[in-house]
Amino acid sequence: MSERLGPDVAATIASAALAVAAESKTPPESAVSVSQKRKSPPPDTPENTRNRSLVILSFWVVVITVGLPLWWVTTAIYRAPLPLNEMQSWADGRACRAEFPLLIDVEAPTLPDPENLLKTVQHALDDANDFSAHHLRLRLSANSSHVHDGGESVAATLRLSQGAAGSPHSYVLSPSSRIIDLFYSPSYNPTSLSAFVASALQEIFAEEQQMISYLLASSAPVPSPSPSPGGGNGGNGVKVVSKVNTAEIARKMSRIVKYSSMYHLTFSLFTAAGAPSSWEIEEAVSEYLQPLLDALGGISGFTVDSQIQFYASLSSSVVPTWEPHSEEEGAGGRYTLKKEDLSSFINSAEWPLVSITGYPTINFIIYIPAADQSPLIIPTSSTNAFLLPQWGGVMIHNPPAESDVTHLTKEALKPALDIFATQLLALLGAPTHPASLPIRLDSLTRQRSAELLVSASSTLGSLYRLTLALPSISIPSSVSTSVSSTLSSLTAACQELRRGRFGGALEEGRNAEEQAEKAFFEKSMVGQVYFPEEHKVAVYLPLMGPVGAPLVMAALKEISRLVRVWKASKLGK
Amino acid sequence: MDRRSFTVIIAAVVLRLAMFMAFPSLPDLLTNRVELSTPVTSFKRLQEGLFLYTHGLSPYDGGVFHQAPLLLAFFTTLPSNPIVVYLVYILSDVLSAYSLIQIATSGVSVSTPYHTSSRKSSAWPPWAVAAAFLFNPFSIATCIARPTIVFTNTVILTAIAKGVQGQGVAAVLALAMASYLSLYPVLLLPPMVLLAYDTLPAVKKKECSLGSFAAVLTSVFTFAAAGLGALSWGITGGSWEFLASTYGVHLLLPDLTPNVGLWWYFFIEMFDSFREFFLCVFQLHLAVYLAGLCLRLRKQPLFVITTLLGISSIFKSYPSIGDTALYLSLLSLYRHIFPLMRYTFFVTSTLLYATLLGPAFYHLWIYAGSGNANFFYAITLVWSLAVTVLVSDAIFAVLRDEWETERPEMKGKEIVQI
Repeated sequence: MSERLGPDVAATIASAALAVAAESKTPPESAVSVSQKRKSPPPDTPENTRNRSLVILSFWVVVITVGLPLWWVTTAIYRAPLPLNEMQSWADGRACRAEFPLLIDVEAPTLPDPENLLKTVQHALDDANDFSAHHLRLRLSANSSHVHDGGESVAATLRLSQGAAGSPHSYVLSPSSRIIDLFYSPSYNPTSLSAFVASALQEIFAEEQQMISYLLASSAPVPSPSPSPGGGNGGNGVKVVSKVNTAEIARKMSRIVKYSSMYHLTFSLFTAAGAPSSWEIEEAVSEYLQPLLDALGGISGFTVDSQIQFYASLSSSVVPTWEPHSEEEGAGGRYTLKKEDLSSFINSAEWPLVSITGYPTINFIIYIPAADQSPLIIPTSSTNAFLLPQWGGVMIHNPPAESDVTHLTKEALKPALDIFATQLLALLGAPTHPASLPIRLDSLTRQRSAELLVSASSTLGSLYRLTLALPSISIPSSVSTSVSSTLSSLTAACQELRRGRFGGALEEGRNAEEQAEKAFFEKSMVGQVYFPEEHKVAVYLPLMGPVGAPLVMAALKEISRLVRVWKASKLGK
Repeated sequence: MDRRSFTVIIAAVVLRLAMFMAFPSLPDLLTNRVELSTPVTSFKRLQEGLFLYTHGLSPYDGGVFHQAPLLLAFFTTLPSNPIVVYLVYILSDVLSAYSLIQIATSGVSVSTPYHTSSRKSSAWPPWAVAAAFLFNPFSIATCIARPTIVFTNTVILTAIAKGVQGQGVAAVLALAMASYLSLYPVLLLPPMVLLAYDTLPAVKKKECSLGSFAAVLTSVFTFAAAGLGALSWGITGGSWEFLASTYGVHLLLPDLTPNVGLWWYFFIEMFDSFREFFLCVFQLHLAVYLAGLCLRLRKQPLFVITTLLGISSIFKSYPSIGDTALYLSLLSLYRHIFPLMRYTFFVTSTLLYATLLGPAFYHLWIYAGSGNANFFYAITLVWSLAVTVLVSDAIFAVLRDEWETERPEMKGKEIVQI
């Protein structure tokens, strides 16, 4: 109740101060009588009466001419107008039906009737696809290979060519381009080829489709008192999700770090002893990781730092178990970590892994065990590494016994950085499946756009409900600006998605999310969220009550006197 | 100035010099006391501002220094010898005492054109009034702690001394300086005008009505204040930053360092959304008494000034002991009404109680850690209560004195207020 103490105490003083005022207001001639003799006080002189009226008036003039306007101005609640209907329709998913039309160019120079094949494949794809928001569109690009209508990005290029004789249909993805090389069997029949093409494309984009449908579906059931909970028009394919492996996707989603336009990567070398004392991390990162970071640049930016921590002990709950080698392998053995150990592997009490940036930090740790705990193995992992959801990755590095222990070279770090690259992609949410990195990054872009769209919309919905639930909170004009910026970005993002320009959609979505968060967490609003109306009594009364009472009493007395005088003068007439 | 006054001043100067010299650590110790140094008067903060100023930086950078730019200009002209600074502060106190002697000699406190107290014979002689100021422990402590409130007090007393001598223009010029230094003396303008007008000779009063006299003095005040502002603008290198950093601090209370006043704790606890409103309420509360007091105590404008100083020493945003010392020294001009006061024992003992326990509780809170902010705030409440009772009791006594002068037959009789 310390909040209450201030007003109370001040009120005591204020009432004491008013005693001063009250005393100064009362002229002694009228106010004082001789107590011993019980006679009525002598009448006031006209001058005194006038004086007293003036004094009372002077207080009231200040209160009314200055005090009341100030009260009005300083406690007025400014509520900037918000486009509530629009906000609600976004939150309910009615405003925009997100679509992800993926354009696939088909090059089939050797095929006799590509149009027909395309038609059948498109049919097959459309029939098999039960999540209509995400669909593949085939286009024959024989003549218009580099004419992009309106900047629409091509999700993949399918290159059909004849395979070796006698071989079945097969396809190959190049790891560094969007080209899918499909080799059809020379002795093909069109039906089997179209079925194969359709299933290949579905296979390539299946994971992305599942992720996006999961993301959009999770946003659909917004608990809002909307009159029409999306009867058909808001359904972004809830049924689809039930078919795919929801648990698997949920697990994947739970690993993903929340989207941010910047991430900080911290590479830490924790060694249980005093060595190695140096590592070529800078060179290693720039050589092995930087290409990936550059490729990701369109989605998020990255800053990187590194640190070495010596004598980093594991937390006491992690005790590796000794596992001797089996007979035929000879003497010696290894230390193993159980699965339960991994969750508490990071000694957060002692390891300096504090984030210093305003944006999320992803940690990558190389742990070098002490000589008496070497080699330390995670039996369930072939790479001796593990990923910590939404946090980062850890790799346990057992340096070969004969190598230089004081220095880790770039080459020695390569396996670690390769693992970290994979982990980074997993943490950012890139699908694991197609081998082609550009396609995976495109998927990531679409996925992040969907995520941003959903999260900005739901933030708008929260803000909408908040403003309705608390009529007394102020809404500064900055919130209104942010909301309109969010709305326009959302609309633009939605349009970009429909046109298949996913880079632009991500850009707009990023802005929408940023502005929505800014509006929702506006400082002056948050402070008043937990301020019920009845608290105002507690704020005003302790000070205003004692101050107001003498003022009001004096005014009433004066008015009654004036009324008496007026009546007397009427009678006198 | 008679020989006794002279002796009193010499003794006070010697005492202060002795305190400065005999206890070299005393000035710095007192400078750090929150009761004596507030964010808007602290000598330590003044030095910070001086350092920045002499190094060519804006003195208001860093948000520590909140005092008037002319003080900087004044202190940079002084040699950086601490003795010189001590002497400046002692001189300031001497000037205050000299003004008090002038005020007491004029006898305005007992006799104005509209009212002459029937108890005028029991008023203190000028030297005693000066002694009551110079040997007041609060004044001495304030002088040694060297807050700039000392200069404000000197200028206010000079203004009053000029006022009682009928030099209205000089009085409002001094008042403009005081307002420039610490804002709140601006409230004294109306009673100061009345004071100066009352002491004009009857011939001049016929030439010039109160309205036109007030208009002239108010415009003089405005021009003087504007001139001081412009001068400060020049001193700080053509920047109006000083307005927000000095008067803005008085008005908006951004610095919540504890002091003997009532604001800091209140505004620590206040809900943010009501902060502006209660700032307005507190500032308005200071101003609301002005008209009422001027009307009711029209016969004794000097007492209006005294009372307003007393009220602002309780309710202004950054009060210190120095403000109370000024009020007490002006109150000593009203020695003749002391017998009419009813709570002198209560007030004296409460003031002593707060004076002794205040530092103890502050120590418990800040250094020992065994108390909390409520300890110190409680003591400042007691202190404010004592001064409040004193102010209201003095008003009561003065009104009773006026009444007894009109009705001599009632002298010494018990009365009740109805």
